[in-house]
Amino acid sequence: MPGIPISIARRRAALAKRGLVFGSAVAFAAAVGLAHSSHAASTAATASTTTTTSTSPSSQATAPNPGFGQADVAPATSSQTPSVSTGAS
Amino acid sequence: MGCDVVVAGAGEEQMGAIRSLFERRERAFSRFLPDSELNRVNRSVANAIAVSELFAETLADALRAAAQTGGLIDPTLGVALEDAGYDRDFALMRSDRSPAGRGAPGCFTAVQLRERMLSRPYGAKLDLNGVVKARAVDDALRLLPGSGFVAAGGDIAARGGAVIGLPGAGALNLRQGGVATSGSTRRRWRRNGQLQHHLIDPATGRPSGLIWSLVTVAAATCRDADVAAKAAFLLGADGPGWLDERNLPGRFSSPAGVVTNRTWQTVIGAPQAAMSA
Repeated sequence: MPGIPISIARRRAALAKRGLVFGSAVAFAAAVGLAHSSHAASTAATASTTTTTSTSPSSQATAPNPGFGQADVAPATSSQTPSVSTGAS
Repeated sequence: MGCDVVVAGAGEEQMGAIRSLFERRERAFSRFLPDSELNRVNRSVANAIAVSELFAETLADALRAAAQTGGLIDPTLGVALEDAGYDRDFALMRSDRSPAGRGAPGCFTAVQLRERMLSRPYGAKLDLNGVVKARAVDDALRLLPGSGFVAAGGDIAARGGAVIGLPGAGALNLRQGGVATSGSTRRRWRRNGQLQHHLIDPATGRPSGLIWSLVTVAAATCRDADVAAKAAFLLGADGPGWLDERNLPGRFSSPAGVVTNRTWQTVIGAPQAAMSA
């Protein structure tokens, strides 16, 4: 890949291998040389109990604020393969 | 920003523009580039300082986020992050035996921004990363000519539909809007044996308690989703209900399992592995 730093080219190849690069999708590191490579969260999702104990913060959260808009979102069907994954960065 | 950016739906021209956009945001808002505008502002001892239009817009949005969340997402927690030990790029951080500092509570209500003139309390350090990355994702999406998505470190904005993998397992279909996940599973370290992470309780100036490991939220924009996810994380057991009050679907992971709030169950459904909150 002429003109593309080797580290980025390797990352693109790795993403492609993981199915994260498809069609015209491409990837790059937002901070070259300092990027984390994973898009997937590491926490297992198998559930057994619900945690309810807590120290709720210190929140000064008050009345509902209408400032948040809603996404147009729906369940994914079992045949749909994720294009990309959300996770803590 | 210390993350990969993945884009679908861009040609070479748009890809270059998106790359430039992220680089500009990095140069303006990095806590780790000495010459970033953020660091110049934080070093200044002037009572009032003129900032760039981009900085002013972003700070104004960060202050809106603070108002939307009752002060949970506070843009004045720079000192608190440094006291917790997050004083260099995360890739360079190591746990060590030095104790964490005392932390400094947030003081966003004392920040004043009039057009491009900023004043803030003496000694306060801004950290706008509560909104910078997600705003960059939303702005990058606007550069796409049609359908596609932009993802940065797992925060995503999409137009025209994208199937988004969820932490651990499962997926959702994001037709339009944003999905973001906040948590402490990646950016965590130890100071003198004590666990630290980057999500600071603004009331104490210390890393928050850990009820959840990850919180995922879908909203109209990546910025909205990210702000709401961080707030819900910080709210602990009150997080699911707080999102329900705002009609935002939320998915909460903890070592004990995964729970979803009522809005998530209504809009997306409850995955087999999840339990309702």
